[in-house]
Amino acid sequence: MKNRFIVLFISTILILVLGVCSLFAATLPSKPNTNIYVQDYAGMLSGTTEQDILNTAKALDDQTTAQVVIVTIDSLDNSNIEEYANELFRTWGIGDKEKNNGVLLLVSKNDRESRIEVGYGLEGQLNDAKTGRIQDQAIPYFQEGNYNQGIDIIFNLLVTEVCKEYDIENLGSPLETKSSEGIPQFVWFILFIVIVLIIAGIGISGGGSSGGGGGTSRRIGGGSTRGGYFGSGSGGFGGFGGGSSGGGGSSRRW
Amino acid sequence: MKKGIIILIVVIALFAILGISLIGTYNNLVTANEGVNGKWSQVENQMQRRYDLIPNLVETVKGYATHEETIFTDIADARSKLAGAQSIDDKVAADSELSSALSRLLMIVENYPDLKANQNFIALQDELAGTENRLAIARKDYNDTVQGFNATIQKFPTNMFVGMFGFDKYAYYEAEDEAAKAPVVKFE
Repeated sequence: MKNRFIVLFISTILILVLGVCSLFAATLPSKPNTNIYVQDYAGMLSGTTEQDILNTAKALDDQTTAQVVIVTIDSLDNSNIEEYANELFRTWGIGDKEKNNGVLLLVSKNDRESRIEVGYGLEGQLNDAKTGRIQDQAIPYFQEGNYNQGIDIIFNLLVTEVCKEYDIENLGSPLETKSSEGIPQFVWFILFIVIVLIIAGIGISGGGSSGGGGGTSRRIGGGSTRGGYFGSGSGGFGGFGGGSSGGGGSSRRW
Repeated sequence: MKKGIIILIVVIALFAILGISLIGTYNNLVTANEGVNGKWSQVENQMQRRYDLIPNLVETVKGYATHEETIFTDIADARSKLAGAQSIDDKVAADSELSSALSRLLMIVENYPDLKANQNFIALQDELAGTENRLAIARKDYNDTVQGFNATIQKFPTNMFVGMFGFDKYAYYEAEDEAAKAPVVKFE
C-alpha cells in the first residue's frame, strides 16, 4: 500500500516534469488558463498596465464575448510573425467559437515586430488598414523603447473599436471583476492536481511502464485543454472561447 | 427447407450490413469532399478580394510613379488572366503571376518616398498584405484538408469503393514553386 503511494507520488512528479518540458519544447507558448488577456512573456508591461488591461478585457469579454488578448514574446524563433500569430490565435482559440470575435496583439521584442491578428467575426470593424493605423500610433513609443505606453495605446484603441462593433458606450465598473480574480487561480490549481492524480492512477492501474511516459505527458495536455472548455462553459472562470482567425490584420516593424 | 431460409436470412443480413456501412462511407466521403470544396472557395474568395483591391492600388501608385508603364501593363495582364481562368491550375498560375507583378510594384514603390508616406497608399498596402496573408492561410487550410481527404480515400476499405462513388484525389495548391520561378522571368 505504501509502495503504491510512493509510485503514485513519483509518477505524479515525473508527469509534471515531463509536461512542463514538453511545453517548453514547443515553439508556441502554452495556452494559459488564468489571466488569459495578457501574457507578458517578454516583460514589456508595468504591473498597473497589465492589471488595467486584464480588468478592461475581462469586462469587455463579459459584455460582448469578444476577447482582446495581448501577448509579448522575446523572439519569434525565426518564424514569420504572420504565421506565428495565426498559429497562436488558433491554438489558443481566442474569441467565441461561433462569433470568432477575438483580437490578438503580438509584440516580439527582439525582432522589433508587432502584429494585430483579427478573428473572422471582427474583420468588418477592424479591417487591415485600420489595424495598421492603430499600430502606427504606437510605433513612435516602440522606437523609444516605451513598450508599456505603446501597447497600452493599441489595446485601448482595439477596445474602442470592439465597443463600436457591439454598440457599447462604456464597459461599466472594471473593479468588480478584480475581487473574483484570486479564486479561479486557486481552483484551477486544485483541478489540475486532481486531473494529474487521476491520470497517474489510470497509468498505474493500467500497468504501463516505460512506454507510458510519453503517452501520459500528452494526456496531461489533453486534460488541461478539456479543463479550459469546462471553465469557459461555467462562465465564471474565464478561458478562451475557441475562436479562429483567417489571417486578417496587419504587421509593423520599427 | 428451414436451413435454406436461415442461409437466406444470413446472406440478406450480410448484404444489409455491407449496404449500411457503404452508405456511411459514402456520406463521410461527401462530407469530406464538401470540406475540400469549402476550403477551396476560401482560397478563391481571397483571390477575388485581391483582384478587387488592385485597381485602387494601381491608381494610387500611378499618381506618383507616372513613368512605370510596364509594371502597370503587367499587372493589368495578369489580372485579366485571372479573370479568364477556369480550371484550378489556370487560376493558380494566373494568381502567382499576379503575385510576382505585385511584388515588383511594391519594389518600385521604394523609389517614391512621397508615395510611401501617403495614408491612402499605406491603407491599401495593409489591405493587400492582409489579403496575401489570408490567401496563404486559406491555401494552407486547403492543402491540409486535401491531405486528409486524399489519405481517407486511399485507405482500405474505402479505396475499393472510391471509384464507384466517383471521387478522386485532389491536387495540392503548390504556389511556392510558381512563385519561385517568377523572379527569374522578371529580371530578363
